[in-house]
Amino acid sequence: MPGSGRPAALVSGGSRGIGRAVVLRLAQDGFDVAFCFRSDQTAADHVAKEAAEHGARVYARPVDVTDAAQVRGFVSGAEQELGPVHAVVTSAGIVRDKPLALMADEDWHAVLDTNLTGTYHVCRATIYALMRRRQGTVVTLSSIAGVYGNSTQTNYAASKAGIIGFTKALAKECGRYGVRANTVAPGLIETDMTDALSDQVRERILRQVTLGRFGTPEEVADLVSFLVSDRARYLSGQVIGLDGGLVI
Amino acid sequence: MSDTASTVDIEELRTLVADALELTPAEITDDASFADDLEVDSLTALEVAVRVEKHYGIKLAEPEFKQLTSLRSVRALVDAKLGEGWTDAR
Repeated sequence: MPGSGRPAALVSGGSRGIGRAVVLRLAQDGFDVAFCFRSDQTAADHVAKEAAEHGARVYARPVDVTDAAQVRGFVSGAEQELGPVHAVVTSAGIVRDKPLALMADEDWHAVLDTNLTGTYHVCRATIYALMRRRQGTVVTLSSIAGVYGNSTQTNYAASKAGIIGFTKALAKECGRYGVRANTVAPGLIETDMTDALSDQVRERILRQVTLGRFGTPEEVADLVSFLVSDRARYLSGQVIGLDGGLVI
Repeated sequence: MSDTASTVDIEELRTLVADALELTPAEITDDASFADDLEVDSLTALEVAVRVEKHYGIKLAEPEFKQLTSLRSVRALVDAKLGEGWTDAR
């Protein structure tokens, strides 16, 4: 039931990786948090428990972000449970890496549907409420691959580049309503997705990272924390790279 | 506008809509089409919905946005919503 006095944040893909770190960081920052996850109920339960330990009310539901009706139901439930959403973070994402010459159509569509259309569904279901209240922030998760491309990731890079264009357009639409939208473009971050990279690929990429290490989900969450805060009140429509100096 | 049954002050609504569309009240004639006569784009038209909701304490369903095409239609919609007793404090 609304009325805790804490603002509410809504995070997609919140049970693992960057999304998980964002949920916990926003809970620590004083938000009540609604998050959705694809299927890992056990992981989601752990995240919910940890977030609650920071004093947050938590609303967690399994949602297929490629399904608009499911997303709308999740957003509606979150608003009923936690009150108006102030911060929206779209983090749900998958990879299905293959050279384009070997790319299966279903891998192309799965990545685009989850990463880009999923972002659209979450923003579509939340944006008017933010505009209506003339406040709120959206942070989308892009990737360095969406800015510079990455071989074997035509599908992923296209989805993440799409998120950049989407977010910039959204920022232009919503600025007049006092709503900001920014996107974060992480480089190599230690998550389940990067664990899937071969040692050879990891070492090759790591040699190019100026800071000489992969980033952590918590470091991405720190940036998201800033972007949704009032400290970023004059920041909108930007692509913030967070890659340890991978590309300078 | 001759509809005396309306509970909505038409001049107040005209001013509200004019502010939302960044036009003068004189330009907002009762039946001027926002899109065709006033060349209001869809994003600007959304501003009418936001302001009307806030001012009258009502909440419009998304399909109803399409009805916000002229001052007369806006008033009809607001009347209908107020008639339903639909208010939203948020």
